[in-house]
Amino acid sequence: MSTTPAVVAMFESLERQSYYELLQVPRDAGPDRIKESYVRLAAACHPDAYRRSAPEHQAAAAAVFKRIVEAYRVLSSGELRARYERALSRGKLRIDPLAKDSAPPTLRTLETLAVTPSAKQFARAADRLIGEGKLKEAKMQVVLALNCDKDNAQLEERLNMLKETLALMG
Amino acid sequence: MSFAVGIDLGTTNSVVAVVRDGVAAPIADPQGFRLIPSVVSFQSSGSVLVGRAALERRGDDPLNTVYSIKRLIGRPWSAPEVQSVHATFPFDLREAPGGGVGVAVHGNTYTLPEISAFVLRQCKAVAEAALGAPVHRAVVTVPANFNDLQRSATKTAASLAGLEVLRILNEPTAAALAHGPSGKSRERIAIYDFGGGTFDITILEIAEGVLEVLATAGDTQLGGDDIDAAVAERMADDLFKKLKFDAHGEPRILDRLRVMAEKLKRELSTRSEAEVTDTGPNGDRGPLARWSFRMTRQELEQASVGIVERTFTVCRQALDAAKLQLAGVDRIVLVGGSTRMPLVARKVEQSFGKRPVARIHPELIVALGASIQASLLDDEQPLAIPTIDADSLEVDPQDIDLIALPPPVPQRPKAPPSPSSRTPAAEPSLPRGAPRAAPPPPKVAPVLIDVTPLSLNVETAGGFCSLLIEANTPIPCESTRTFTTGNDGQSTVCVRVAQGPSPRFADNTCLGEVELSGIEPAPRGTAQIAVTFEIDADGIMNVCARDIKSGRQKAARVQIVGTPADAKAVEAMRARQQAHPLVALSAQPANPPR
Repeated sequence: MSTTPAVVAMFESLERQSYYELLQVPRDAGPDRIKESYVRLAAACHPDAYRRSAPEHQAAAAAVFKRIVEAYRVLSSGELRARYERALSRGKLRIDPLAKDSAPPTLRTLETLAVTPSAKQFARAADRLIGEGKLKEAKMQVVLALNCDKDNAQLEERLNMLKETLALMG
Repeated sequence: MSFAVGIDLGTTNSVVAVVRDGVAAPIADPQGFRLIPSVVSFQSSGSVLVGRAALERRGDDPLNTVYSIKRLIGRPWSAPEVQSVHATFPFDLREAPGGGVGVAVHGNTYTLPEISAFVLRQCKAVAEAALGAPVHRAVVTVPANFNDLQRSATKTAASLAGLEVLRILNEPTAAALAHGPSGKSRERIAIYDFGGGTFDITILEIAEGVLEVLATAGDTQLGGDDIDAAVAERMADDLFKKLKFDAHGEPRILDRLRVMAEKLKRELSTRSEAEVTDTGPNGDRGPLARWSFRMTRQELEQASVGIVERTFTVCRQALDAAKLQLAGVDRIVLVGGSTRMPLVARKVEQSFGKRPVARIHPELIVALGASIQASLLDDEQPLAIPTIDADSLEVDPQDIDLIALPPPVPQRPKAPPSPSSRTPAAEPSLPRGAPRAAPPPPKVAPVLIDVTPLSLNVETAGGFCSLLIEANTPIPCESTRTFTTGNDGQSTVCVRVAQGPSPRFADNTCLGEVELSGIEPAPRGTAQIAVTFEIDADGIMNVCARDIKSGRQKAARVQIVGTPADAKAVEAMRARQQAHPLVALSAQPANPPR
């Protein structure tokens, strides 16, 4: 049994790694490759495999295992992987795979996402319009809010979601 | 030398198994029996009979002979599953302090973990007698679909029995471990586990050195007991027709009918027609003394086909969760006593389009798997994959080609292959500093990657759920949420937690309340408490909280209301266990093994 388990090195770099890096696959890896790598790493980092190791190594293994599972859940779902790609392009290394579930209540509060007072004003109007089902009008307000809030990525994401919804509705 | 054993704590029967010299084998009691009925009979002297001797007292002393409590363990008294059945038991079930289920016997009220502890003590005693050495550690199995409360209650029971729990293991997963790899490189297997009180289906993928659970689903209120009850109904009808006796007014007679129904059901697994008479004690047999009941296998199948069909609804849930079609399953393994019914094997074959396998005795396989896991997790045992003892193998001539024991694994395995040998060296998307090599596992044993069967939720405004952990997430896993206060200066926040599939909180099983107290007074909405909910490798929830502003781990106190018991209550239960010695194994009746 090795004295410095590789899982400790993985643990130490956990917060600096993308899901791709964690799973040791290239960014364009297909589902089979991702699955194979996941199973190999999950087995290698499973806390049970470290039962006889020092407590800090066990804790490191548990943390790495949990993150590997998180990475696999995101990368093995087409929808979540697409969302992750967007997050990754903004420099975010992790996403909450369940965030979609809590999305509905926050959807109504574009206002909270806006930063500058004038952007908040437009966002509030957009919130109201969405509540009334007037999505086109709401979209205009979000565009105006974005003019005030340069580089507000979250607001931009909402704008894109709004555009997608409008496109779907024809 | 002390041993770590595997215990299948069943609704109807329990089995204890151990790995010795690399071979996993069930342990028989001094009379040669391997199945220990999960029945506990309290004697007026204070001593307690467990197992066959207790089962025999079910007719004589129904008020003090307790059975099938696995159906109720870990459930609150108010639960519909308890309210709908408690009156059908001849013993006195009532609400225990703390809102759980209790059994009143000889003026004392025992919680259900205490009853299970007696069964586990018997398992421990059987093992110690056979091994001639103390047994202190165990892997105890539970239905895959057991929730946090049921698992915690089982763990409490083991602790009361003087056993350190190495793992609470899912029964189908244990079965898969005993079944072992077939030698094919990668295989998807379905474990169809139909026991006395519960049904579980688990889909696993087995590859070299890894058993990965893809999905599990189950019904904790569906088992062979339901078939017995359906047959007992027909018997009651017959009794009424022939003798104008209404068994429904006499719970004791109805209970006797169920015992007879179970016997009849077993006989009809090997015969096409059978007859039963009541074999209870001579006194107090009432109308049963002059009545017998005949049934054909066809009639039994008519009575039970609806119950068996219900299992396939659950199977489809698991396949959907595993994103598999029926044809994607390479092999179906039958587990549990109810799969001995020819109807069940036939329906499974029809449904999956494949002949199911029962390579290992379906009533022993779970305990064998648990013993293998115990030996893999135990510190005192050597590292090697155990094999299954030959007596536990059940050889169906048509399955002869499937008999292949797990191959012995060399001490220095080639697996897992180093990724550097597979991954091209230059991969532009991988930045520097990323460790490239998978850490080699420090032992040769196969690793089990199990999942949590149920979604974990917190209650949100309006009675809805916010999902913390999705069903079928590999365990251990965790999820962190930030909570805040709703009022100025508020120092306590309560969060209700539930397990279940419904988006409505009330439709799920409430596990309790996590109380975060000692929050520093602040205007509303400004305090931020990060709460981490973990499901550990036993499938049991742990909660820890951290005040984000102060960073202090202890800033918030976590209290889960409704978990089995606090330390004081456990001490009281422990004291009660000591007040009840088990009747010695040698003093039990010596009937020849069947």
